Amino acid sequence: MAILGWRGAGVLAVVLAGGCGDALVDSAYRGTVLFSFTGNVMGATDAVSAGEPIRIAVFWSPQGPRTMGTEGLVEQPSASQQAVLPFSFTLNLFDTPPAAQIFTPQDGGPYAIAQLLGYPDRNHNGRRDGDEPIVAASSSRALLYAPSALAADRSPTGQAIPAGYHLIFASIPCGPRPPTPPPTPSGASCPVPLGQSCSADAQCAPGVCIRDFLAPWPLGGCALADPPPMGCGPPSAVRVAQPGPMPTTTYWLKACTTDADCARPFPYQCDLALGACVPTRSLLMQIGDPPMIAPWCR
Amino acid sequence: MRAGAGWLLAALWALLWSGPAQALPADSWLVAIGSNVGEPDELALRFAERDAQQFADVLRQQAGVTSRRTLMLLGEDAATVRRALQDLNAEIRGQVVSGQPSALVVFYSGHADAGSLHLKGSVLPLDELRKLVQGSAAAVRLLVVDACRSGTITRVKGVQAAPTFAIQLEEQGVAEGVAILTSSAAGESSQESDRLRGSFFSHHLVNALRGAADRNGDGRVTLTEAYAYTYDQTLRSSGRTLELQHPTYAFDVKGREDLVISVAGSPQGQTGRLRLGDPSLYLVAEEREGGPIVAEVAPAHAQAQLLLPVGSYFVQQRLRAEYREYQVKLAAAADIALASLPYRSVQYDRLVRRRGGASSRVHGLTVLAGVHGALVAGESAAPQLVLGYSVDLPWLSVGARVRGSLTSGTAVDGLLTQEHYELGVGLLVQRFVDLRYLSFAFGLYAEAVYHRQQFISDRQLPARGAFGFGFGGLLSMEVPIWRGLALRAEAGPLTELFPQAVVDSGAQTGQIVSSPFTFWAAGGLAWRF
Repeated sequence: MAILGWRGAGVLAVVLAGGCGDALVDSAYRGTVLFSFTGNVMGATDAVSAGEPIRIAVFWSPQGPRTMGTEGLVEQPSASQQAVLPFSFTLNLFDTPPAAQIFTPQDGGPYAIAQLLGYPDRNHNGRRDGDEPIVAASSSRALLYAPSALAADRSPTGQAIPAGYHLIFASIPCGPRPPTPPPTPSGASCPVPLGQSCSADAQCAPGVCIRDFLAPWPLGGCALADPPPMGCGPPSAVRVAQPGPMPTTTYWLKACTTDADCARPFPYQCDLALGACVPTRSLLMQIGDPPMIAPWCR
Repeated sequence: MRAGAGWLLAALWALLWSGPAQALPADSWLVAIGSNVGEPDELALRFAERDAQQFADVLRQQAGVTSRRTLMLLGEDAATVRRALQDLNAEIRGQVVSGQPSALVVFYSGHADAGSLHLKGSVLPLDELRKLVQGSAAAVRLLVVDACRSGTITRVKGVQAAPTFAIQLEEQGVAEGVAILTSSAAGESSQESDRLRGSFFSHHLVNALRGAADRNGDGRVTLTEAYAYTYDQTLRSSGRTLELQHPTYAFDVKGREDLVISVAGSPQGQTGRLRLGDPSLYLVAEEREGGPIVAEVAPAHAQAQLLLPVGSYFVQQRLRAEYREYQVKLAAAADIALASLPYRSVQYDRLVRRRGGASSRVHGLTVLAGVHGALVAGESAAPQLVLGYSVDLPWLSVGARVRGSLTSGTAVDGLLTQEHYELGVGLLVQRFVDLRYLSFAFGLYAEAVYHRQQFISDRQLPARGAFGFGFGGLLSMEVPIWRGLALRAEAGPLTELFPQAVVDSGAQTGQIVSSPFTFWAAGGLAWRF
């Protein structure tokens, strides 16, 4: 006691009583999170009865981005979560995709790409069986995994991709990557604070304040409509078109290579498919019977 | 000192065992003097007169001294004793003249100093007493003085403890001469014992004559056997007190044979024979455990026997590994062997716990195997091995323990198996309740625990190590099976404090101090030594 002193003895007693060291884990623990994302599931379908939970899971495409529909997709074990509609979820990934799910294109580096799908796990075995229909999908997003960093010229999106998981906008070229880089605006620079939060177009003049483009934009974001007014062009911008067979809306958005370039909190990220700062870090999964599953590539 | 005395006595036996022995003559006289009251400034003794009575009883029962030839002088003054001895000497002279062999035994228990006996406010000089005995016409004269500093009487005579003594007869094998036994050396006190209800010396001398000193098992107790036994036991008993007490002797006896003081023979009248078992210490109490002590004897050979008055006795045999407790009903002329009676075995730990043994603590080792309940969700009950050391004290048993356990669990996704090792070091405090065939104990257990979780998975997770604290109650049961070995079973509630991860969606999001309430159960062996 003389060595420790009363205060030291008290600290020691607290440490002993409460324990010290690493926290012990129970069966709910599955390991170190390699990647995590959130999302919402909403909608209705006759394929799921009221109160029946839906399991959201990762399905890899061993054939790469050319997969159409859900044929050939392979579910990743332990990469799922279920709840009763409507619900939001946080999906943690603890494993890398099996080697069999890695796709290596002729002109690029290896990667794996996955859909986020939902199904009623009726036998509660934690995986989808043949009689369990797909009832939810995120038609505009893909989960991409790069075993190692991919340079822009070997990346499926044309953007440099660090090793690891990435949630991207589903915009991958189906064939060889474009031979030329995307166009950049010409003319004099426009003083538009691209990507900055906004509540009115005046704050982004001569640009616009957008609130819903590809996904909802929390707190808005400044962008420059295409073609730019007055023929000017902002520096460090990338042109992004609304996906669809007949794109009608196109904006110049803030270009980026990492999330740090965007300087905006979740759900904003540097989407490595677009090379732009967009709020695509959160998923919106729509229920359908069957759900709409758009092709990744175009 | 004691080792030297033991060597001397061993040599003594070697010399004496070979020869035959001669009993006291048929017309032997006994003068038993007991005086609880000494000088006015001396604290009254409690058992001096009882000592004299006990000595007289055993000589009547086992030495053939008749009541008619026994003078009981209890609480008398010096003049009465002097006159009685003078009268008796005259009687013996007449007896000798008529050609009858005779012996005179004088026993004294009471206060004394270096020069005289203290008898009810009067004094009888030791030298006068010695002369009265020496001057008797009896062929054999035995003076036994149980008093403080009584060793003076042997020193007066100029005789010190010698390595051997032999009682030799010149004619017809009959002993002749004077022998003096004293309860303590000059300068030493002689002590009474409330527990024995007598003085150490007299108690052991009486038991020696009852048969405890019969070293060679011939059914007869000789003077040398009686002295050697009494010396050893008095020294042992006084060794538990603050002051050692060394009986002394002085013999001036001629003859070829040792002098037999008592003969076990057949129990007669209101006595019965109790045959003891293996050599060890026996405690004989009246009626029941805790009753008045009748005899505390330590015979040196198997099948030693005691002649005891008819009655019911509690006999405790103190062996090395256990106490055996007998209940004996001794009828007139009965001949009972302890070995034929049922007994209750009392192990060392029980002795300590009921404060009945010579030792104040008993050590123990335990080896237990069992399980304790799961600490975190998903784990199964953990098999565990417990090694323990304990000390049984009169009121509590305390111990230290080391335990190890291993259990495993699987994560909910089935892709992660965790192995959970525990190493605990703890303290156990228990209170035992001893019943006839088993013992129960209840207590508290506290331990420091090191936890280690290892993962078997492709996920390459590092092991986790944590320190925690465990606390619980424990109820145990022990059943003695053999020589300090007992079967032990224990169980109880247990809680452990340790850091636990807060997990959300499979990932750790925080940390709390967890204190799950679970159980502990184990069984195995306990060994007391």
